Amino acid sequence: MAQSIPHVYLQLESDLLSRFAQVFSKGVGISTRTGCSIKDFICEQLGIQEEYLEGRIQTIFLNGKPVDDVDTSVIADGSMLALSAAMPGLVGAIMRRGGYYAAMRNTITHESESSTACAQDGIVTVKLFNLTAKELGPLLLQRGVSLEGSDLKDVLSKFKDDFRRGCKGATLNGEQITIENLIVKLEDKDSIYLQINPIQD
Amino acid sequence: MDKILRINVGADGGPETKTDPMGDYAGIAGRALTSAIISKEVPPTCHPLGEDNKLVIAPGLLSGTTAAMSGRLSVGCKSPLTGGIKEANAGGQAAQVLARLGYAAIVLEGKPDDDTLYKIFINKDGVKISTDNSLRMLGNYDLVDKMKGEYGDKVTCISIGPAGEMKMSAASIAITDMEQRPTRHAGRGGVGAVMGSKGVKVIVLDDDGMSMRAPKDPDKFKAANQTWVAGLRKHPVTGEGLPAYGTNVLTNVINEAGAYPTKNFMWGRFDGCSKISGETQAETETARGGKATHGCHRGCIIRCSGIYMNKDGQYLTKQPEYETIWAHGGNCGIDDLDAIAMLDRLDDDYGLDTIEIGAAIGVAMEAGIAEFGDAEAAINLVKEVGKGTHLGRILGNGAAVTGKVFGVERVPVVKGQAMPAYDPRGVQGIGVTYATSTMGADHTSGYAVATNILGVGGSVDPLTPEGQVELSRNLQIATAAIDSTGMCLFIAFAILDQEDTFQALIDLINSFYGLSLTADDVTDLGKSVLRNERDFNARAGFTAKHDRLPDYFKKEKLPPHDVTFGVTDEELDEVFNF
Ligand code: SF4
Repeated sequence: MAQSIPHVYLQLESDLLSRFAQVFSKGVGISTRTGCSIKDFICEQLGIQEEYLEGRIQTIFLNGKPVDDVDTSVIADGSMLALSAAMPGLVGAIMRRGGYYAAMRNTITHESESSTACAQDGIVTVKLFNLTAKELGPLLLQRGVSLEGSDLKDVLSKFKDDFRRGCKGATLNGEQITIENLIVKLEDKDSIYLQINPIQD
Repeated sequence: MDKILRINVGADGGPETKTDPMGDYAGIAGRALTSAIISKEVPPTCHPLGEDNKLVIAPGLLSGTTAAMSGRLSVGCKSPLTGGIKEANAGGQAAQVLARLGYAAIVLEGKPDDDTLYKIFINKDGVKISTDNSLRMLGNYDLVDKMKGEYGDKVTCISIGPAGEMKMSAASIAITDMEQRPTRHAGRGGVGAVMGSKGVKVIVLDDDGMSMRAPKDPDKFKAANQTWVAGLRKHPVTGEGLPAYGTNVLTNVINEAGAYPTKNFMWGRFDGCSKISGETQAETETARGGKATHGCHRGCIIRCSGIYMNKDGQYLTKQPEYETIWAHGGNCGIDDLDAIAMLDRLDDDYGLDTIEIGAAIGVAMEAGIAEFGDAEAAINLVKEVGKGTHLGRILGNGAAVTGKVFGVERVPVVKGQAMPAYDPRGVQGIGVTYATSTMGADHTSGYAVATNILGVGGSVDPLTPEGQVELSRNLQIATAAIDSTGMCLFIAFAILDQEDTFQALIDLINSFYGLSLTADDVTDLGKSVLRNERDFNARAGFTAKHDRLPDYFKKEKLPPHDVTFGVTDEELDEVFNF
C-alpha cells in the first residue's frame, strides 16, 4: 500500500497530533495480517498493552456492531473496527462491552464466530473515538495510515495556522513541500499514505 | 430552604406575593417537589396556558450547599406540549442562588388580566415585582445585558425569550451561567410558554449577603463531599471523557452503532458525523481560543460544557451538547459545526428547546420546506420562529404540530414530545423509556444508570423483553430520585461503577439533614415521584394507549442494521407495574 499511493510525511510538534481527531473519527486504513481475533490485532499487531485494552477500551464495534468478546470476534480484510473509552448515559452503558445493559441492544450485537478466515495480509479500517484517539492516534500516525486525500486536506485547511507554525518538515513522495502547497496537491488525491514523526517542543 | 414563595399574577391590582411554610411538602425538593405541587394543586384537565396551571421552580435537596454537582434546577408545570405533567431540568447558577436565598420553590400562579410584562427581583430583603414593557420581545442575551445594567454583574436570571412570550410549545426557560450568559435551559415541554402565560419575562436573583446552607453535621458532610469529589474525579467518564469532550462524545459511538437518527429518523448512520463529533468540536474550540472544558454552574467538577468561538475567535455560544448537535446536525443532514453553533445561539436567544426545534425542522425538511443538509435554510427557519411568522409559529409549536400541518407521517414523538438522539430501533431498551416516560419521549431517564447499586435492578434476566421493561422501570425510578437531589444526572456513571461514591451521595444527604436514609429510601423517593406523575397524567386523560411509539418504528426497518422496534404493547404496559 505504502508504495502504490502518494506518500505524505510530516514532522510535527507533538501537541498538533490531537488535531487529527476528525481523521480518526472517520477511520484510517492499517495494513495488517487478518484472520485473527480483535484482541490479537490490538495487542499483537498494533502493540497495545492488554491492560489498556481491558481497562480503557470499553466499547468496540466490528463492522458497526457492538462487540462483547474480543477473543471470539475475528478481523478480516476490509473489516471496520472502532474503539472507544467509556461513554456517558444509558446508551453509553448499553454499548459497553459485556456490560450490565448490553441486552438492551441485542438486536444489533456482533455475534461471536470461530476464526475461518485464514491468515493473510489485508487492510483494516480503524476508527478511534474520544480518549483512544488522543492516546492511540499518535501511535498509528507514526506507524503510518492510509486515508482519503480530502480528509487530510480538510484537517490541514481547518487548522492551517497551527500547522504552519508547528510543521518542521513536510514531503510528498519524498519531495519537500509547504503546508499550503500540500493542501493544493491533496485536492485530486483519492487515497494517500500518511506518516507523522512527532517532535517535542 | 424552608419556604415556598407564591406569586399570584392574577390578583386584583397586580401580582401578589405570599410566603408559605413547607407544610405537606416538607422534606422534598427538586423534581419531587415540583411534581408533588403540580399533582396536588393543578387541575389535570386545565388548559396549560390558563389561570389554573402553575409554574414551579425548585432547587434540589443539596442545592446551595458546598456539595459538588448540586446546582440543578427543576421546573414543573402541566405541559402545553404534551398535556401531561412536566419537569424540565436545567443547570446554571439559579438553583444554588435560590436555595441560598432560602426558597424551596417559587410558584407562579393565576393569570394576568392583560399583556403587561413583569420582572421579579428577589434578594435577601425580599421580593420586588415591577412592570417593564420595554422588555417585550427581547432575546435572552439582550434581556440579561439589560438586567446586568440594572442590578449589577453578580445577579442570576431566569428568563424567557420571544418564544415564551408567544407561548410556543417549544419555548424554554433560560438560566444564566457563571458568566451571566443565558445558556442553560429548562428546555423540554414548553415550560417557557407557561412562564409567558403568567406575564413574567424575568426573575432576577441576588444572593449577596447570604451564606452557604449549613449542614447538620459539618464534619461528616465535609468528609462525604471529599469522597464524593474523589469518586467523580477518578472515574473515566466523569473524570476524563465528559470533561474532555462533553456529551457530544456520544456522536461517533451512536453513529457507529447505527442508532444515530439521521434525516428525520430515516437512517441510523450519518456520513458527516466525523465533522460534528465531540472530538472535532473540542479541537475546534481549543484552536479558536474557546474552552473544551467548562462548568455550567459553580461547584460543578465534571465540567462537561465549553465555550464555542466563531471563526474570528469571538464568543458565539456555549458548547452545544450532544442532543443539540444531533437535532440541528445529523437529524437535518447538516455537518457544519459553525452553523449548528449558530442555531444553538439562536435557540438560546429566542428561548427554544433545541431538541424540539431540531426535530420540527427535520419534519419540515421531509415535507419539502427546505432541503436536508441546507444549513442556511435551517438558520432562516429558526429566525422565522423568533419573529413569530406563521411558518415560525408552526415550527415553534414542535414536531407533532409541524407534522400535522404539513401532512408528514414520519413524526418522531411520544405524547407530543420529540424524541432525542437515539433511534429506539437500534437501541430497543431506550424505546421502552421513550414510550412509557411520564414526560413524553425523554432521554434523561437514560442517564440514571445506577439501578443495580440502588438494589432495584438485579434479578430479572435482561435478555428477555421483560428484562428490558424491568430495566427501563428501574432507570426511571433512579432518575426521578436523582432529579430530586439537585445533582446533575451525569454523576450516574460514577455511582453505577463505584459503590463508595454512591454511598457518599447518601452520606451527603444524611449528614446535611441529620437523616439516616438507605438506598431503599432513595428508591422509594423515586417511586413516589413517578406515582405522582402517573397519577396526574391518568387524571389528565392519559391511558396505556399513550405509552406507545409511533407505528412506523414497528414497521419501517432502520438501516444499516434493518431493525424494527420489537417490544410488544403488553410488555410496555408492565413498566409501571410496581
Ligand atoms: S456536568 Fe455538565 S450539565 Fe452537569 S452540572 Fe456540570 S456542566 Fe452542568
